[in-house]
Amino acid sequence: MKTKCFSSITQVLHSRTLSFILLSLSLLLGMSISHSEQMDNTILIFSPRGNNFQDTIKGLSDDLAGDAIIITKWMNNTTENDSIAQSIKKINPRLLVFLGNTPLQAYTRYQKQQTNNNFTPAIALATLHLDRQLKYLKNTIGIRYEIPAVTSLVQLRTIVKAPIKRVGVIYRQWMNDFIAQNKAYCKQEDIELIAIKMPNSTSINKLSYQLKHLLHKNIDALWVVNDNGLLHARFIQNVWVPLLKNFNKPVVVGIQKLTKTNLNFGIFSVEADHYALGVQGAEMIAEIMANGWKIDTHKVEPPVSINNILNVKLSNKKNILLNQQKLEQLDTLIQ
Amino acid sequence: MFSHSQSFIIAIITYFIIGLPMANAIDLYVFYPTDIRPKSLQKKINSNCPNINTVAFGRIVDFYREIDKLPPKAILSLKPVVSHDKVTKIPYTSHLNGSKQGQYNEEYILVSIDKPVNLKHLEQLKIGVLDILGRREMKRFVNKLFKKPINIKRVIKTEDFLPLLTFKLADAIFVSKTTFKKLQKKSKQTLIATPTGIHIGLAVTGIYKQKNDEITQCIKNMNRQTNMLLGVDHWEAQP
Repeated sequence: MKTKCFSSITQVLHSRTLSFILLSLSLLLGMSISHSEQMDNTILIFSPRGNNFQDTIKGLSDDLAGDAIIITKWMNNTTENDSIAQSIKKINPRLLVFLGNTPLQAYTRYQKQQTNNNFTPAIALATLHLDRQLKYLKNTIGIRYEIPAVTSLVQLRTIVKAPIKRVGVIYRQWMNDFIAQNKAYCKQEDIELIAIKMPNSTSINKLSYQLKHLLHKNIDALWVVNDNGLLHARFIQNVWVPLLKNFNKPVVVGIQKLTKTNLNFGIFSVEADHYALGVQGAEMIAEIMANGWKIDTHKVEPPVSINNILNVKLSNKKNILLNQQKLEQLDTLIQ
Repeated sequence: MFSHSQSFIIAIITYFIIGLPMANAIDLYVFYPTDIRPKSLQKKINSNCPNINTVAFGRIVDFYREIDKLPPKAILSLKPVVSHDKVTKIPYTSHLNGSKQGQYNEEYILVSIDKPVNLKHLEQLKIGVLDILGRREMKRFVNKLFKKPINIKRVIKTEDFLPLLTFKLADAIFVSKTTFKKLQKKSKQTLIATPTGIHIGLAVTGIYKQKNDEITQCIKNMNRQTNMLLGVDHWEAQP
């Protein structure tokens, strides 16, 4: 089994002074901490490297400053579950945090291998399709990564002059629950999601047929879900971009790069505000801390805070009228 | 005289050499939660006051961190922020008070969906608040305002209030009447206001050590649009 894929302890961000000094010294000197000695309020984060993940860790660390020692273990795609086991054994944290899908998948394998069910409380952040993954995990809760349509569409409604009442979406069967939940959220804001379901196994022809069908349903905007099965490069090239060429209404996407002008695809993209995601996670941790480091809920929260990008150039090209005075509410404008 | 950029470099060098914070590098730090992004707010204040070097922050933690590191000549924020120990210890003292229609504070209400909040059962509810003081301090502040322990759920941007209600992450949100009106325009949900009798101070400025006429004049003469963004219509010197 590979064991060296972890980097060593990388960050001790905030702490009670004594614990901080003890931990830092032990780590600097390569000493292991006694397994029986649980450091007060130590939180162990498993995360891939990357700016977004670092922002989330910063949000967590800023918010828990003075209340917890935060240690980050950087992971890569080949990290094995026995590395997780070693880190947990060595650091003996009060709580685990998993950022991204790879660490959570490794932790799922780790849990499967354990004979007892006494797992350290854990939260998962910045993980796609979290609800599916949490079915296989014990003592773990988290915050979804996907931005609910209602968050994007309410924001879109404030910046475009045309009404946003009927919004089309194409999804694959496995996203049934996600779409049902989004329909309910949108209904609260008087927005109807016109959803077309596709089988999990799809093709250019099937997607093309369904998208043409959807575009004829008198929709005010299109919401493109983050599903690799529908956003494969050949689908973007052969279906989305050519069919949306003459669709002169807002296309909302969940990936920033899909709003690039030369792609001629999304005009509005909404992603999680990664720093705020960390703060939201910290609040969850603070509740667990106040509850004696016990998770007594199965709660999975949607992300609350977003960063958005509007491609003004593309909006103008498609004659989508914008409320100019509202544009200052957006994070990035592509002019 | 040094230019602003020269002053900034000198302040940084001094900071690293003697290890102590030094004022004057930046003239004005602003933390004021609005609908617009901090860079837009900063731009508006700068256009009002071209001689004043202003930095606007979007997160309270960055605001506190930076004034602690390198105190600017003045700060502008909501009254509870400027009155906080983290600020007064530096020390900043009250300088100008913002007012709106002759009032120096604004009523805050609880906003919920479909039905009003039963104030008798407040302890059992989760209340969404905008974080203007940091996690621990915010909880203390809200408890003090309501005179009872309140279970809070914080957001760091005003635009995040609506998702808190939509996703039922909070039973109600604690907002100013102005914010409530904006939310009503933005949302199609039935938002119900419950009065609390709580008033919170509007925007104020704090000054580091000594008054600065240039900053005073700049803030007092800000245009209507910028003042509106800062939730005030007039500035008066602290008596």
